[in-house]
Amino acid sequence: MSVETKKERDGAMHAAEYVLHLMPSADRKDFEATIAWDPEVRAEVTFWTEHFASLADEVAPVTPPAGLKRAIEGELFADVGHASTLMSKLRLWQAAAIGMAAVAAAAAFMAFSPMLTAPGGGPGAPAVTAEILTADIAASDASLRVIAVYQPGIGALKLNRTAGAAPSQRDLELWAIIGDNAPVSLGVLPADDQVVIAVPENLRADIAMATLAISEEPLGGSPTGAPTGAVLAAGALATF
Amino acid sequence: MYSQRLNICESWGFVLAVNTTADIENLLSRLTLGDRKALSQLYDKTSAKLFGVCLRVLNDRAAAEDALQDTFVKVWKRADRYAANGLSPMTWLITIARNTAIDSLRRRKTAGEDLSEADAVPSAGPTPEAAAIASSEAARIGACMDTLEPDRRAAVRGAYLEGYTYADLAKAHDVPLNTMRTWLRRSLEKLRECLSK
Repeated sequence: MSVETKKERDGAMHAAEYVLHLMPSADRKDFEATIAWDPEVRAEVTFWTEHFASLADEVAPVTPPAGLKRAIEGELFADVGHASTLMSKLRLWQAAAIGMAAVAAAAAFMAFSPMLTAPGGGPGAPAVTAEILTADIAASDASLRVIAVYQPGIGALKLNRTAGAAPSQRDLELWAIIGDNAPVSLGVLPADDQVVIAVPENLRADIAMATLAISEEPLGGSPTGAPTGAVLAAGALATF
Repeated sequence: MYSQRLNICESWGFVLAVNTTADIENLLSRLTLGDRKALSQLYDKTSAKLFGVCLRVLNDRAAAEDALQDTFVKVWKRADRYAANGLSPMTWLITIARNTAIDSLRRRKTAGEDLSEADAVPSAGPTPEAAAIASSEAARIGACMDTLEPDRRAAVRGAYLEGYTYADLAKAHDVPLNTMRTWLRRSLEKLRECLSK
């Protein structure tokens, strides 16, 4: 094996301990943020996960009780809110992006209307997602990829761009789409690969349900407050 | 990406494994489109294996049933994340089942229940089916595990298959906690070196 730094070896051992569930739960949470953030650590976790899963070859299959499938379907399909998939959200959003000024203006109005933002987001501090969330905001052809980690403690997204850049004379803009609401701009992405972007307070309570997406926009960002350019990449936030 | 993986597998000649892998990948991709029938088929194909994994960790049928239910709920909700994670589909499913079972086990333990010593699930060797689809990966970790001393090998297997903590392992092997930590870390280093060859 080639020469390896102590940091790399420690990273590999932490990855193995993580996969085996030998880490205390607090360390586990921290490590999950690192996994989302660092492609090398992620590769180590994949390595161990794949190899250790082979140990389960020796586990004999046991048929579960007859009613369990129905119970699962009952739990899932009574709850329509969660059944909306990334695809359907994306289609909605693309419709919004293609829609002309009127739609865009209406969407912008809705997004910024104080009446409609943050239901329950008054000064009494709403129930805020306490878990670290991650999203893989990726183009289908891998031409653009940004890993996002939402850190509830600071109410901000840490972004790490691993592929792609803004087209010439254009900016990349990040959007959050929550449920059926209009996309809300989280800002224009700077040229740096790694940035931290604050999430507006009124979005934080529902951020776990958000899909993040990146569109290309005129320099300085969308002039209308709603996406106007092509949707380049999207990914849903979820617990790791 | 999907067809690429398929080609690599085919060139290795694991025809049965490829069929299973391709079927399961196909079902997972249909889940992201909200296809309920795909979930039903995925359940039919994989629930027995995943139930076995949950039972092995939890040693309790009722708890394993809950864990299996949670597993499929998570699979449905997170199917769109499968494509990006680089894992083979069965690995992804087994990992979700095992993590769910271990979370449940740890919750139960902190709630004061003791880990039962009785082995409710027979620790059988590989089933004929599993043996047939065993990939080169499985053979490799098997061979590398064999390079470890028997008690250390048992500790690594116990951590993965039964979800034992360092404390559980130290108790089971009757060594101090720090000794167990050292054992495990050295074993993992040795394993990684062997697996990376």
